[in-house]
Amino acid sequence: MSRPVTAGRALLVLAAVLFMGVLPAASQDAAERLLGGVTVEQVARHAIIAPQIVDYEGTKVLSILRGQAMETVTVSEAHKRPNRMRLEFLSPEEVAGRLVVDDGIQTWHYEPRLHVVIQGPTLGAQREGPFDRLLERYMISLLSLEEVIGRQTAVLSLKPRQGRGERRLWIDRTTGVALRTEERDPDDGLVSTTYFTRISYGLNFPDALFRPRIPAGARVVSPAEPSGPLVSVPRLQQAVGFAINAPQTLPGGFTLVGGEPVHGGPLRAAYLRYTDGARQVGLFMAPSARLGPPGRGAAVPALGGEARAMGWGPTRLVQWEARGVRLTLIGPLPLADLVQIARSLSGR
Amino acid sequence: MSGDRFERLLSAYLDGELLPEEMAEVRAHLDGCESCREELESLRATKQLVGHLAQPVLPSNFAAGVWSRIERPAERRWFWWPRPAVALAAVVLAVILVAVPLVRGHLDRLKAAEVGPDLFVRSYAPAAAEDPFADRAFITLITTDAGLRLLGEDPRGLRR
Repeated sequence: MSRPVTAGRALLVLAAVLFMGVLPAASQDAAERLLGGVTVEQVARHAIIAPQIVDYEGTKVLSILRGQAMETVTVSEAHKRPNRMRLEFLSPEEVAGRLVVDDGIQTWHYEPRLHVVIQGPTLGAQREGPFDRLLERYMISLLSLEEVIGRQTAVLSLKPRQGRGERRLWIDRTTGVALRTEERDPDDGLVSTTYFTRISYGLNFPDALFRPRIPAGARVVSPAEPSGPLVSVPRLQQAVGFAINAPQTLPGGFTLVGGEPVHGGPLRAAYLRYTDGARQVGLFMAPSARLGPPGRGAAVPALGGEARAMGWGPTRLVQWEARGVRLTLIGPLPLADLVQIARSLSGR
Repeated sequence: MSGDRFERLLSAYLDGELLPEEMAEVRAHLDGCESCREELESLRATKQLVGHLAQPVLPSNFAAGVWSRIERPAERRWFWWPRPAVALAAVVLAVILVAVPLVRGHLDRLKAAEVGPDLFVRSYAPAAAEDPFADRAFITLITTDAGLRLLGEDPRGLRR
């Protein structure tokens, strides 16, 4: 039975509708005015394509939550468009001297303490995905205009529409480079920050700076076998030799992109990749009978006795077992959100 | 003919077992060889000494017993029972053949579980770098740390 709607109630509903509809439009207008006629979306897009149009070199400070403590690392970072990178770690003492060169095809990491070079795939992949999809999945808003190391920045907030957590980016208004970033977790607060303490643009870096130079006598190793192109789930199933139950979507708006087999030492696993347009989630599966109990990490009672969780800044990993399969989820999500996805996969 | 050959013929010479021409030859050699004459005397003394030993009395059925044992067919062994040392070595080998794959399989499973998170972080890193707002320096840091752990090294080794 429906109750008659009073005039007072109708007014309240009308006010709410007007508030919800008009205020964002008003704030959008205000942001556009602040940005001198540029929209927030245009600033975000500028940030995405910046690596392809600008070279830079600077000193960056990373602060990352590891367990209960923040670890601060200083690194000299050079970028050559579109996707080459050179990192020289300066501090703390434990990582000082570490050198990483990415030529856009492969990455070489030289560890001076061990005189070893670790080879791996490039981390300079093409970043410009479908921008419309990104806008569908994220709320992007302008928080303020601030000056960072003498440069004007637009401070953007990115919040997933289906999920929690927040990213804040201080985008250089001239170049589009993120001079400062923050990752905020609803449970743990600030889990990572990165910021340049100095930066120089438009330098004509020599190509040689982004080519690996293997030090004489250094051992070159490749601890994980190189991955191939993404394949469909049936083909992945054939490659790994066991059944894979892979949902097309995961809670939080993540959609399956494809899969690939993963080989490393005695471990064989199926790797499924999901994305929400920006964040990437990896789901790894391996038959439990071929694995020992999970060792490291904190217990996750919600996922069973042997479930474990670990984290590095915003990147979290949970491992658990369901129906004879060891599952591992990894992604830049709050732990509670990752556990929620895990529970949906296990039917808990 | 050499002296060595005559020494070998002396025993047969004493027993009269040589051909007449060999007897004559040895005799002629003995006339001119003092060492062979001494050897001959020594042999003669030994034969005399042995000849004075008492003859053992054999039982009457001794020869029959010997012949019956010679002619008896070999006993068929239904079970092969090796010597203790060989048996022990065989048991140890069998245990090794069974235990090594079991232990190795168990270690592989433990190792696979141990390397899992680091292998997954490394495999995931290229995808993470596709996030347009992710910091590549941060991704590189966690990737290189995972790589070092896969090599069995502590990424912050100096703190040990």
